Amino acid sequence: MPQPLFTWLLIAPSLALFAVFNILPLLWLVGLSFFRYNLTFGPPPQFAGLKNYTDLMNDRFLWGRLGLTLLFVLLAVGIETVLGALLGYAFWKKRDLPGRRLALTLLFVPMVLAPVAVGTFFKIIYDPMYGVLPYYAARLLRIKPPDLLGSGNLAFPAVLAVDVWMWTPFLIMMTVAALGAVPKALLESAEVDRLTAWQRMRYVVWPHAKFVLMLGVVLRTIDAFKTFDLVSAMTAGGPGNQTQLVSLTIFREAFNDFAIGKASALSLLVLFIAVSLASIYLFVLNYGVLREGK
Amino acid sequence: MRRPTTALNRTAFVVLASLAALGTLYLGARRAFAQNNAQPVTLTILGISGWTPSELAGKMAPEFQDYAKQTGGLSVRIKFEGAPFSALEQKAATSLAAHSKEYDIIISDSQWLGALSTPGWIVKLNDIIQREPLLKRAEGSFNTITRWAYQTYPYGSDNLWGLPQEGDVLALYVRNDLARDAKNQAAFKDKYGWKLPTSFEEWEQVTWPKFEQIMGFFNRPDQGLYGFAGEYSKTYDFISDHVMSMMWMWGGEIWDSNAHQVYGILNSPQNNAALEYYIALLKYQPPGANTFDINGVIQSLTQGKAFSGLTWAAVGPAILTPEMKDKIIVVPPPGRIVNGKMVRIYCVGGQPWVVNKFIDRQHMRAALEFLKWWYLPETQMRFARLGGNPVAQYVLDRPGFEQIQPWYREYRYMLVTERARDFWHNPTYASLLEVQQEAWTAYATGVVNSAKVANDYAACGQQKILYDAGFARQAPPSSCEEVRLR
Repeated sequence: MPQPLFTWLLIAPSLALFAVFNILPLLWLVGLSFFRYNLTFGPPPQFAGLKNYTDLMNDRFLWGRLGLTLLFVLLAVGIETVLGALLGYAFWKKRDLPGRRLALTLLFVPMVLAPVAVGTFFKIIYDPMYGVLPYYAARLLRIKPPDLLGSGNLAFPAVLAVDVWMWTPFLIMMTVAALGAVPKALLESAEVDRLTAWQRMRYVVWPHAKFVLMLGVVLRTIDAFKTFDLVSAMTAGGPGNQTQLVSLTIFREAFNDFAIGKASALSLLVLFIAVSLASIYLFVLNYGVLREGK
Repeated sequence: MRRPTTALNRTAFVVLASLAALGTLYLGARRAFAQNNAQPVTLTILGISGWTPSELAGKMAPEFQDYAKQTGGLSVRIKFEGAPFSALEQKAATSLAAHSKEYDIIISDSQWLGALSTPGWIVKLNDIIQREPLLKRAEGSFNTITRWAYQTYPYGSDNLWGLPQEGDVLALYVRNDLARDAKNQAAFKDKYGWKLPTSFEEWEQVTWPKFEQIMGFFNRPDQGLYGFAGEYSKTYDFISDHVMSMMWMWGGEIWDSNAHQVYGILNSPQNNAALEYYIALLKYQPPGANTFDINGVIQSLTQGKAFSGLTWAAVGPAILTPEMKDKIIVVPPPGRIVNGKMVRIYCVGGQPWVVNKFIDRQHMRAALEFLKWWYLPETQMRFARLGGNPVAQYVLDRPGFEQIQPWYREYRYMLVTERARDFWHNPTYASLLEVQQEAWTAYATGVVNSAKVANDYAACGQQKILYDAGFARQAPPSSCEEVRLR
């Protein structure tokens, strides 16, 4: 059997699955986004051209929700990256730290929990009447137990804090993996050459570690952009619309209002933004390589 | 000479063969029919998980199975599937939209009748009710609010899409042990000059201003006790049911159901005052009450944190625990004096049964048998004894009915047209609700500081939804462009 044919045969099952479960639904979604289609009322699907898209452009609330989502992504990924990098570096540097393995294992626990379960737990933990956190905050700081999820000002940071708690371990893991990719010989050479800590980081560690680390950041960015279950369980987008991220808006359009056409258009818009963000990351990451190539 | 004999033989052969074939067909059909009857039909009910009246349908199923076998020779097996309130519509609608036969009967919320009937997903029941004497008898016994709320779309019309599974009303749960306490009685009388109510009849006279005095009297945060617990959560319709009740009592309306006009009606000065009043009651409630759902009220009462709580009669079993059942009484929620007359109007709860239009004849037959069984007086009485809320008047009027459950007197008192009201029943129900929940929880949690802004936001949003969907003739005014929640 010729080699190319054999290769295609080997990857054919994966391609078929990818086509059925990814490509076809995506094409279907693209198609639906051009239709006026509501499940519970109105006529059968009618071709509406770009109407769903123009409606989205003119929706003054949508841009606020996109802005809130971007802020959430920026803060969540930013804080998680800084904390993850610092803690990951500490774990990498102190390999003989007593209990290191156990600590690393425990740190990964939040990441493997279902977000909806985490959201429900934290809703109880935050409860101003029965929750552990407000109880100790009130006792230690001698204040009234704070109502974290019932306050227009505190709900967003309270949800953000849970996301950081949950996903910082992922960045720790990526940092440890990234730093593990730095050749030992180079690190030893750097030590022999008496490079400063900054120089060592800039010229030895970063070039080797950046790809894995940035991959972690890209994955987290895409994931944070899609945050749904955590917020849905904790606040349902409230109080008011203070935690109404764009994923909750898509869910609301599709499964609450049953406005399938509009929800499809919004999903594509969000997909476009997420892909753009990932592309920007990758471009920045590869900028040096591209420049050298020129 | 032999030909005629052969011909005769041939004719006889054809006749005999035809008879044999018909006989075989007949026997085969009989056997198949007998098998069909013997094969159990699985009747799948989609209901609300964690909601006693809904789950009782599943628990009582074995009784129906016996009934079906005895009366119609039907072998039926019941399968109950549940989803929480907030996810039930998604589960039902997505399944019905695919013309699925997954669920034969669905316990829907009353406001969904429009959304489920408009696309033709559920069976219109008018003819069936007329045809079936048991259903006709039950139908004839429902009072007006029961009929409007659980059966009709458009609301109040003659188009019947559902049959009531359970009735429900808002009820005030009160810590009567504290109210009866001699010290409390004396101190209250000293302070306010009137007797602290301790009986159903006395609570019947309580108005909101009077109730505020009671809430204030029992609001003792230093002792871990608060005067009241209400629903304020953004989830599903929790804050809406309470706020709309206040609006109706304050003389407002939530829309004009004929013109589908919301703007100028929902954001009226009376409604702004009603919303302001209900949110101001938070000062008598436990910390975190501004996001309380049904569970928040239940927990406040069962854990002794609140003197009183306003929630559904259907959650009576959860509140009246063995520890609490002698301490709490269930009474009508406060009213309001309008033109010298006590006015008491609250949201009706409860859910109807609806039948999937896409199921086959066998399942349809089983579903109808189930509904007929449901309205038998003995089934309704059994439902009542287990803690459900029956609606057939021939059961509600039975002597001793009010003594079956501690909340039945209040339930029966409130489930009348002048005291209970339902809302919308429009296909855009979920969208109308969402914008309203958003607006009112924003006000309850301090995201906006004005009831007027919250009501303007809800009215503008709802007017746009109804206009875009083609129900309303008027678009929201241009001033709506400026209305924001923050």
